[in-house]
Amino acid sequence: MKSKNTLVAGLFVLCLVALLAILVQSRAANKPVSASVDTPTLVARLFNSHNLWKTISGTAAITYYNADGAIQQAFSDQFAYSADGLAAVEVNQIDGAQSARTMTFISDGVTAMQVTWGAGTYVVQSTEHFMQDLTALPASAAQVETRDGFPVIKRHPIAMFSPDPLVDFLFPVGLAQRQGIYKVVGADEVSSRKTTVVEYFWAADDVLPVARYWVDDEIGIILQVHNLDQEKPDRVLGEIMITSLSVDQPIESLIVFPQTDGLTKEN
Amino acid sequence: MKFTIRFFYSSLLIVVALLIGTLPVLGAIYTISETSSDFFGVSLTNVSALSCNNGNAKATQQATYSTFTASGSWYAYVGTRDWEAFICHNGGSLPAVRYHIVANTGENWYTTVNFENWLGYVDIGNFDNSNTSGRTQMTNQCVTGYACDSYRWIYYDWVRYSTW
Repeated sequence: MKSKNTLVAGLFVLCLVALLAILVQSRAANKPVSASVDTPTLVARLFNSHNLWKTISGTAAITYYNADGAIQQAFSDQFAYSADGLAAVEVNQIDGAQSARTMTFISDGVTAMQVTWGAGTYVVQSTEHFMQDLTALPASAAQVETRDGFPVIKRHPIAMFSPDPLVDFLFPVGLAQRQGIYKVVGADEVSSRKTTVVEYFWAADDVLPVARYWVDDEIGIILQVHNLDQEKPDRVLGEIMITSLSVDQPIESLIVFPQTDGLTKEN
Repeated sequence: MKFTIRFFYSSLLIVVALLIGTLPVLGAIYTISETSSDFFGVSLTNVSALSCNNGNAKATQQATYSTFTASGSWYAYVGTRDWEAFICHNGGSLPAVRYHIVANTGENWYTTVNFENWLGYVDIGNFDNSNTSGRTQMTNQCVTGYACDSYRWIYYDWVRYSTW
């Protein structure tokens, strides 16, 4: 009888210890890693990002979701940019196992060409109508001009002429000029690179963020984006994730304008 | 005495030089004007929203990306120099819009603006020649690589431009 009681008590203690271990482990897993920078430093990095690299190239996955969480549209994106205006972008639409070439964009810094493969059309344009003088870009929130209470946002010139869906995140100086609130919420790794996780709210009294960004600790570009539903917590409407990234590697060999045989000029 | 006269003439020269340097600046009055509301193509709905600059905007729905059934475009005729589009964020998911800007010289360019990201005035390009005018055209067609469905509203508020 005594040994039976001891066995029951032993099992009870064992269960308690196991429960405690599970509880401790799950708490440790959910605990956010503390960020190494505060919010003002992070925003300053967004303003200055385009000065922190000479070239970037890599691949990304872009996914948009329906209200029920199913994938609505998915794209793969290959990109290469230099700070002085070279650009090479290839966007493919993904449908299950199928991948369809959708858009190519090439810029040699003077002339830019976009091919929309599905429509069989292309556009050639000069880059001269976009701001050439980067010193005109605001370097801090204090330098952002406002009109009628709204900001006048100066996007990076490459962000203006590239139709790449990633481009505002690779040149985040425009995003830094918005009037909403950024809040650093933690740290994480994306594609083996250290990032600071920040949430963006349209207004100071908003309860839910409209987006969550993973900002590269070294060069300030945004490596991952979650566009969030302001009605439902943590419901992701759209997601961008950089899956590979090279910094300051030569990209000149990628600047090749596509053949236009069989294509119709748009402009 | 000589020194006083020299000092007087030097001062006079400096004042004249400053006046000459200032006159062109005074003559070039910087103004900002709103586009006329000439719309062509699709039917635009009037909306009232606080986030739109003056509480009013026009809107249309984006085409269903698979069929482009509601395809259309509209124009606004604008002046010269720096062009800014006012992006009115009225909640929900917004589309990306590809602006086509056409100068009367024949020059033209495209710029894509993801409405999802912005609230306020966004730079959409400029002409170097202040005597050039033109028009901007927006369409409700999908932009490759961006989210697109017929539930996304394109809010058209102001396109502004500056002249000197």
